[in-house]
Amino acid sequence: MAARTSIMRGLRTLSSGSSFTTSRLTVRAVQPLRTSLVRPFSISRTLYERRYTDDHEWAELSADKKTCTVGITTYAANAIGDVTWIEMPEAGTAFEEGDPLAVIESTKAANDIYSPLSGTVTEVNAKLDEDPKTINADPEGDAWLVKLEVKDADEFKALLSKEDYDAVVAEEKKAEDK
Amino acid sequence: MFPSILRNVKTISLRQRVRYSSSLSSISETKLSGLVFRSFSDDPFLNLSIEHYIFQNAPRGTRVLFLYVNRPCVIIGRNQNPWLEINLHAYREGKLPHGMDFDFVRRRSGGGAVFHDHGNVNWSVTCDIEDFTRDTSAEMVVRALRRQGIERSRVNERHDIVLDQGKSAQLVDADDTHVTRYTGSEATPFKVSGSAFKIARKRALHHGTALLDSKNLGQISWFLRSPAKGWIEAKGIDSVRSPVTNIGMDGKLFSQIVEAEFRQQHEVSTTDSPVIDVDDSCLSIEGVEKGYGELKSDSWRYLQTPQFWLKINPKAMGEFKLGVKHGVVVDLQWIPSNTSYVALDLSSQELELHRIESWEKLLQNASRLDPQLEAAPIAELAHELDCLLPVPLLQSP
Repeated sequence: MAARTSIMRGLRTLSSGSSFTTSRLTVRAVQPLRTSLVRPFSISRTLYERRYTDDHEWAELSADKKTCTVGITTYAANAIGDVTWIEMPEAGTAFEEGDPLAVIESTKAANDIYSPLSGTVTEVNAKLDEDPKTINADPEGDAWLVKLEVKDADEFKALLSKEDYDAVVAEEKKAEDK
Repeated sequence: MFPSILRNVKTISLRQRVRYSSSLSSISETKLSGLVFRSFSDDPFLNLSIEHYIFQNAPRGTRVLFLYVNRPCVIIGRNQNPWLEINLHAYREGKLPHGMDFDFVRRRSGGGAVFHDHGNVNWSVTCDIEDFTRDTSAEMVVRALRRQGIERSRVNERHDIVLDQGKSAQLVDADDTHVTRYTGSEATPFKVSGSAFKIARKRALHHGTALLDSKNLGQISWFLRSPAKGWIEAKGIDSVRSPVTNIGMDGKLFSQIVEAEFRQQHEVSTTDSPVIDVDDSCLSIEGVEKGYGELKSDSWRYLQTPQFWLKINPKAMGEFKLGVKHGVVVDLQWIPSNTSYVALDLSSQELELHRIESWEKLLQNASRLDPQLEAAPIAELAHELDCLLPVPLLQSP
């Protein structure tokens, strides 16, 4: 009987801090991701503060101000349209505030997404790699993009409050209607 | 042969060249609401880099039209897979049937794979996101074409421009750029212009091709036919294949009518904002040169590829599976039908797929570490892999 010969495993030495392993990649290659591999979204969401950029990203700082979850707003997801692919950063990559963080492709358009804060990626949302369309369904919840280890929590204070962000959206809608 | 928009250009003096590049390098300071650029280079990497520079540096409030012609090349979308989208054998041979080189390019915008040559004029419009829809600029090009009597042209639901092939059957609103008298289900329209977009920092770029008088129409599907199609399972973006045709128009005329339509629609006069000609002197601009290097790099062209798997089970060779992430082989499994289980660990290697010169050598090295694999049909499998995953022609470092 022919048995499985694994010629090469773990060919790629992944950078430190990466949560990927080769065996997990193999699992994901042949069957859908088990839900247990995905860390559930913050249960006590109300404890955390959420702020925004005028480029339509949101950022939510953890209570200890050390990590931050980043995503795009519902307004942005609607404007982008049906998402077909998301180009995500690798865990372990460091970004400065305003650096291009991810690229979302929808109907032949590549949309740049920027990092609202400086920090290092600790986790990327594996669900989006499996099913990019999730971002249209729940952009401000399940379809967060990455978690960052925050470099300077003061940067968070400079982001827009919900009220200020809503005003930005209202302005843009007005400009589009013209 | 030169692209037709270049035909009446004789020589460009050094002084003029400097002026050309300085108009581009100072684009961020323009107070004009509309600019028109035209390229004298047919280098696809340069033209896309000039376009990207315009996209990143033109100020808000300024709308820019850019017209350029590329030498023969296959251009894939940002998130596509060269092993799946193009005929890498043809690329490796590096020759068109009549002996002309062609390039392989990955662009920064989304969408699918296209073929460019001197019979194709590329147009692009950069504007504020508030003024952008996926149809606006294609509609502008259709209006320009219709003024020249191309009345079968319209914008389709994929934001591309097609020529309807139906019989004239219906009365339609002549100003509606999405329907013609020939629109109907009885005949498939031919695509003449494909669209792709890039959106960032409240600016949007729409670029489109325009097949005017390509001599390579019959070869396009050959360039875009991968030997591994059917064996690759890939993440990222698939191309949507459509029948194509030539509009049948001179490139210089097309450039003129698109420019005229742009100027009329957005009130951009030739006196306030004359056409700015650009060429390879723009490589002296830091941002253009940087973008040019990025586009030409193997890491952009190959390692940017979304994750994919090749699965084959050729007769008498058992099952073979290859997993590739970011262009690097991350998983390689072979179940030869005549061998028992052995595991080999070559984890110290970082195998970039586009650099695997010899599958035979690689499999033989693996078999040396594992005596049980010696009996496996290595040469046969290696031949199969050489056919499916040819090593592309690499840029010199």
